[in-house]
Amino acid sequence: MIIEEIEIKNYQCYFGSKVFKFSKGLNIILGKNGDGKTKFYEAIDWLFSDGIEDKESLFSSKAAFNMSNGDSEKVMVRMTVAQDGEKRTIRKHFLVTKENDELDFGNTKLEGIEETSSGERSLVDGSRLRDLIFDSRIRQYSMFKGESELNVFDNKDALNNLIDLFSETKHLDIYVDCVSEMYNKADRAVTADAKKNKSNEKKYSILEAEINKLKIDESQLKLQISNIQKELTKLEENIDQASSLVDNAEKLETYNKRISKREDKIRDLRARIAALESYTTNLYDENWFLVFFEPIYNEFKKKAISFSKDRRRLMAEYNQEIGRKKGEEEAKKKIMESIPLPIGTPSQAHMEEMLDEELCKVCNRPAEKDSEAYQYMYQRLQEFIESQKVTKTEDDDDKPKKLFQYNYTTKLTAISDIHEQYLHGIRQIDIDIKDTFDFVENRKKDLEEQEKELSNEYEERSKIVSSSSVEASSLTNILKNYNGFQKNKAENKDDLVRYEFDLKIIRQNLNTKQGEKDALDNIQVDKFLLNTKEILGDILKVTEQTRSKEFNDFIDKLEAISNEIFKKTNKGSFTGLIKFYKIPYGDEIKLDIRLVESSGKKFEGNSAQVTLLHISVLLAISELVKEADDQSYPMIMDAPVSNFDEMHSKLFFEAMKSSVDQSILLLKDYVIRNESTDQLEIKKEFDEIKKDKAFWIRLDEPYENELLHTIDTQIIEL
Amino acid sequence: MKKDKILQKLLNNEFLIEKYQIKENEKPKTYYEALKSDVVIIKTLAILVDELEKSDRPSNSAMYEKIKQFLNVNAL
Repeated sequence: MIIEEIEIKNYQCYFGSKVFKFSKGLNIILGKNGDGKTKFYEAIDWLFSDGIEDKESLFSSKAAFNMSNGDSEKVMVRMTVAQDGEKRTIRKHFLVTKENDELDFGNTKLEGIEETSSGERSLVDGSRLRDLIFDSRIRQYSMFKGESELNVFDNKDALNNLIDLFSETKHLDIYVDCVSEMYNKADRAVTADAKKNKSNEKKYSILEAEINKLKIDESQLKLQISNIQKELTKLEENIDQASSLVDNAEKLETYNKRISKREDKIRDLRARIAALESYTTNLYDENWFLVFFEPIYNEFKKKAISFSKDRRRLMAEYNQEIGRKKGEEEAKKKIMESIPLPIGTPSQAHMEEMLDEELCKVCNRPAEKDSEAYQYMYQRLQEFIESQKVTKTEDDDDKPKKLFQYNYTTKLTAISDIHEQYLHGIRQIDIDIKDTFDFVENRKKDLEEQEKELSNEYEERSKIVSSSSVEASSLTNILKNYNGFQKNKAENKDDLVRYEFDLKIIRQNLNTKQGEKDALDNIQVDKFLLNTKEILGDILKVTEQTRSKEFNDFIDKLEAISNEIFKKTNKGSFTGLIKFYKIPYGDEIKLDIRLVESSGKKFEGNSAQVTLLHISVLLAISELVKEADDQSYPMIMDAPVSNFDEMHSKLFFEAMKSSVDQSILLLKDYVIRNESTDQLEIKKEFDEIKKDKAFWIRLDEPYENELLHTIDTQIIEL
Repeated sequence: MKKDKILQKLLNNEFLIEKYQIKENEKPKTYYEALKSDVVIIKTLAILVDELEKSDRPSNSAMYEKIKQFLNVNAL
């Protein structure tokens, strides 16, 4: 099927009739955000859907604004396709009329028109033709809005739909059901015949009862296994969903713990610093004020020593003087008392007489006043008089006072000695102060470092939260849930192993009992009934195995084609392989599509690789459709390549062109605004894309951003 | 033709080939040819395909009656 034309009339931003004329191959519609790409996609979606619609919102605001009372306008989407040698058109529309300034919306109609190659046109049922043109089951693999919709197998029914559509698996279900019923009837016929023979009636009945019981047990176990498999699949899905966040959740928890510990440490450091920094208290409590005492003490000690020394010297001098005086006195006393004056020594009176007469009567020479002889005699007289004076004793009032009678110097020395003992302690204060200051400084450095680390950790934590799609509190829950899921998964797996083992045993017993029953049947039952049963049993096995092989072959084929396309679209870069995992889901199978290395190890591709993986699978499905239906269907994709780089985009376009007979891609990436002219234009790179037809949709200018009735999308064929 | 395609898929089953020792040259190419086969299981499969691929497919009970009659007589 090839879409030839799509007409959109008065549908949202498409005012009036706008017609896209498409060709086979690659069709590209360019348009920046808000210019009508998504509305184009939605218009097609509306054409193919039957849901409840808000007609007012579908109707072009510009058309509504331009209507006068009594006017009517049609809202329509029409698609004309070439299919099976005919031209087929479906159109969906409703009428809008304006009366008394009110809009009235008519019923929606869907019409089909078939036109033969000879030009004969006939009106046909729109719904039937629509399904004929583009079966809804095929459309789910052909129309996509954004990358998020590309993983069609997220929906577990998608595989069943695909199998129904393109493989014989579903068809072979009819064979399996029919043959299974026939076999059961043949088995019952054999049993009925066997029961006619009374010789082994009891044994046969026991065997039958045992077989029935085993079958019930088998059926119950199968149900339990099926439920566990479903549970396991759900858990796997939950684990998958959580695992994309669990790394972040684990990191968040680690950071939360680290931050909490660091905050405690910082609080502790601050408290310790605050306590140690109470230096004023320490001045008195710890005698820190004495820290500068030693130099003062040294000065004091020096002075005390000096005083002591002086004291000793003075004391010595004093004692000497006292001794001398004492000696003198004693000598004088002795002289006075016992020793006569030497011969020729004049007495005092004699000396005074000589001085008066100015004549030395010892040598009988004159000694005039002021002469040397006179001075000599005078000096001798004074010395004599002085020597005759009596020295005061200690008991006398004029006796010299005792030196250092208050003993201050000794006291000072004693104080100095006492302080000397304290010096060690005082010196320790200095060390303590230094140690305390060093300690505080180091703790401050630690604090600074811890605060820096804390700030980094806050930043890292907020990065983790912002890089996750959920809030921090949810992340924490995800980790808890994730661990819970893992635990449940392990428990379920254990249960599954146990049940599967039990099932194996039951089946062995069933086979044994069935064998015993068959042996009895062989003796008692008509041969032809047995032969019929055996052949039907074999045919049942053949149909079941063929169905299973058909399913596996189909998946293998889909996988092979997907990989072929994936390699093409990923040329020149690391690709890995696409692997389809068949996961039991109760009695059904669910597909899980993953990227694996050639060794089979799974890996998470980047967003472009994942998008390409999904697109490759879709293109593979498209090829299978072509093979099965002998006709192709177009791929319509809105913004499929927004996370591709230039090279991947190019490869993607090539793959679309070579794998699909017709594709319509809606892209925004190639429309840019020229900054110098302030005009929109198409990038030169767009010329390099090998396309068959291109359109540029853009809003008709001028328009006002805030007035919907000025909006009208124009189509420019490039 | 769909009947031939399905019959071929069933006839290519390994278990069938092994148990009934069906040689390649014994395998009919069409369902019509299979309906004339002397190998009972091949003919049974051909009847099955022929009946189940009809637009007015018979009921499972009717199918059983038909196959049973054939097998009771021919499965020797």
